[in-house]
Amino acid sequence: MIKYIGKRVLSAAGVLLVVSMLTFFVMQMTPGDTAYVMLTHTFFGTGDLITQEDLDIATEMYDLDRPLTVQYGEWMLGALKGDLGTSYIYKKPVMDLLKLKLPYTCILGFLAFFLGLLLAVPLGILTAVYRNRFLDQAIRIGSVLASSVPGFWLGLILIMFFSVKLKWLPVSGMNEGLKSIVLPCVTLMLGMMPVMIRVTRSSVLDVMGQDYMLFAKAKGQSLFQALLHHGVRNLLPPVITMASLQMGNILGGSVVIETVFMWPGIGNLLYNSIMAKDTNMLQGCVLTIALGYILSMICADILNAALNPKTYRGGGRMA
Amino acid sequence: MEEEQTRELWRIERLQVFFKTRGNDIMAVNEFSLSIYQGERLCLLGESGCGKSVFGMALLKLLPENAEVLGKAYYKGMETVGMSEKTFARLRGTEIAVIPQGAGSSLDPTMRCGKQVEECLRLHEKENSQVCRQKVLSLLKRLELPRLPGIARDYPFELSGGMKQRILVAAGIVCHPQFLLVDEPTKGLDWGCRDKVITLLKKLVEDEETSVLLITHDFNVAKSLADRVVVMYAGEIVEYGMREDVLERPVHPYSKGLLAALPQNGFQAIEGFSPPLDQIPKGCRFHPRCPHATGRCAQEHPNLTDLGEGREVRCFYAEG
Ligand SMILES: Nc1ncnc2c1ncn2[C@@H]1O[C@H](COP(=O)(O)OP(=O)(O)OP(=O)(O)O)[C@@H](O)[C@H]1O
Ligand SMILES: [Mg+2]
Repeated sequence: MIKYIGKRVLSAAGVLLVVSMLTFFVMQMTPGDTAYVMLTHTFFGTGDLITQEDLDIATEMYDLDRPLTVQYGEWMLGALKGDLGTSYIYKKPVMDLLKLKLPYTCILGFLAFFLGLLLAVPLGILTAVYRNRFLDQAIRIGSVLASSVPGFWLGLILIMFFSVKLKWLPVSGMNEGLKSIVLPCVTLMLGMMPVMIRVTRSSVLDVMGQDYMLFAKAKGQSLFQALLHHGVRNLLPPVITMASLQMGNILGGSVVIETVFMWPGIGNLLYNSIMAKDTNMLQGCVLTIALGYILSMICADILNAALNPKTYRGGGRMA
Repeated sequence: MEEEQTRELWRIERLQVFFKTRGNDIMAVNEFSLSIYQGERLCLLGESGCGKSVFGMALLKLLPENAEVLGKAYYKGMETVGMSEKTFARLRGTEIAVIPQGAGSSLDPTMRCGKQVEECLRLHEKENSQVCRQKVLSLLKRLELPRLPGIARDYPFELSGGMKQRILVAAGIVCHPQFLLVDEPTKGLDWGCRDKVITLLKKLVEDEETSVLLITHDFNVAKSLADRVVVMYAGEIVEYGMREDVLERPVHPYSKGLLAALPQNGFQAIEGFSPPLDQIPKGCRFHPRCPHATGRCAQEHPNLTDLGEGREVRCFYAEG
């Protein structure tokens, strides 16, 4: 167990290192002088008025004239100590900004994730049990529709219909409490549910074909009793693994969804920091999302291990 | 067979099972008519793929969705082929139980063995868990499982094949069923284990007055356990009667062939292969492989001929 955790922490650190390097150097390759873009974004609409002197000051302030490797190295040293640098445009420590924005992303992401699971898993089970009947067909068609359109487009359609036309819900932002979370949440849920329904359905079908389910029925259990006693533990592993990938997708997809709905979370922050070439801020956002991915996969591994008696009875290995 | 004491438990009339497939429909069981009496041990003998398990599962109404069952089967006078799933489910486990084929895959890999046995008790006899656990443990003890009581808390992957088989036996008989279907209890077991399982089954049946339908392709198992034997070929009954009659003085050429193929009788296997069930030959189903086949056998399908003393044979030339 300790060996397992050690291995996971090491590989997570490796992933984060690679991600941070990629983010940093790719960011430098994007067009535009960092100091210039930064200033135009800080003082909006002042593009023509920026002088060489201003650029020099900005460059000086953030050490932008030093070699890239040195810049990255210094950032890295700070990051190891828990200091992710200062945001160029917000002029505040990146860490503070992340702490401020992360809760919003988490609220939206977890709400969509758990509501989505709460709907998708039972639906997956029902479609498997009543396969090829009306519900199954309807959900299959719905899934194809929902998963063949991009999330942002779906979001825009929902906004047009429910906010602009019917005026039931706010267009964007989060000033109207619960009402304002509905549309982004639904958009995220529609993104993940088709996959989750499909995985659950095929996993249930697989389990229902197993001999031990037949034996359970021979003992006198109904199909639902058999699914409850023998099905759940056997059908969950693929569902859990897929759910962890979907959690990652929700985090990554927050860039688009939060931008479309002006949701003040990490995704929105990330989008703005790309536009302003705010390298430190971007690093913070990207690493947070990467960490989320890694954590959700570790959670899935641990859950799956807990479900499999072989792991804790010494018959097998973890991961 | 019309004695006062021998009550009829099952009366099966012209039971047929079809499988709907993409190609031809498969007729896996054809016109099975059979009675099973209380407390008797009936053995269903036949080559692999001849439809033994399908017949058993048809009695238990556990066939997959693509199967269609025709005919009638009366359990204690109740017709079961047309019975609703819900009503029939109440008989399963308590009255009609099964020890399935395939010990490895019939146990849930994520549930402790003891619990899988206990389940049946908990479902049917509303007793508290303490009592159930005691009952299960004493049953496992009778089955001579080692490492008691710890083994009840083991998972199937920690058990050997023979141990798993005995767990299945326990799960099958824990509720004292009236009718027990045992499908290939000795497949894949070594001689020692095989004898043990057979002796155990024998003892249990004698103690509990259970009717057993034993499915096997092993003559020796049939010999040591059965009261009556039914020989099946390509989905049909070809011969049935008392054990001594069928196993020692078989009449049907197929049963004779099976007997001659035994090691102690010189390994003379029947030539050819049993036909796939979607390409059943015309006439007698066995005629392409039969050493005594005549022109009539290739044209006409023989019916079961009654030879008296509860013995019937499906052959034109059965001379008693
Ligand atoms: N679900 C199904 N769909 C189509 N055909 C099936 C199905 N189940 C069984 N069959 C066919 O029914 C026939 C009889 O199968 P069955 O399992 O009864 O054989 P068996 O006599 O029990 O053999 P064994 O001794 O190997 O267990 C086989 O030829 C098989 O192809
Ligand atoms: Mg079989």
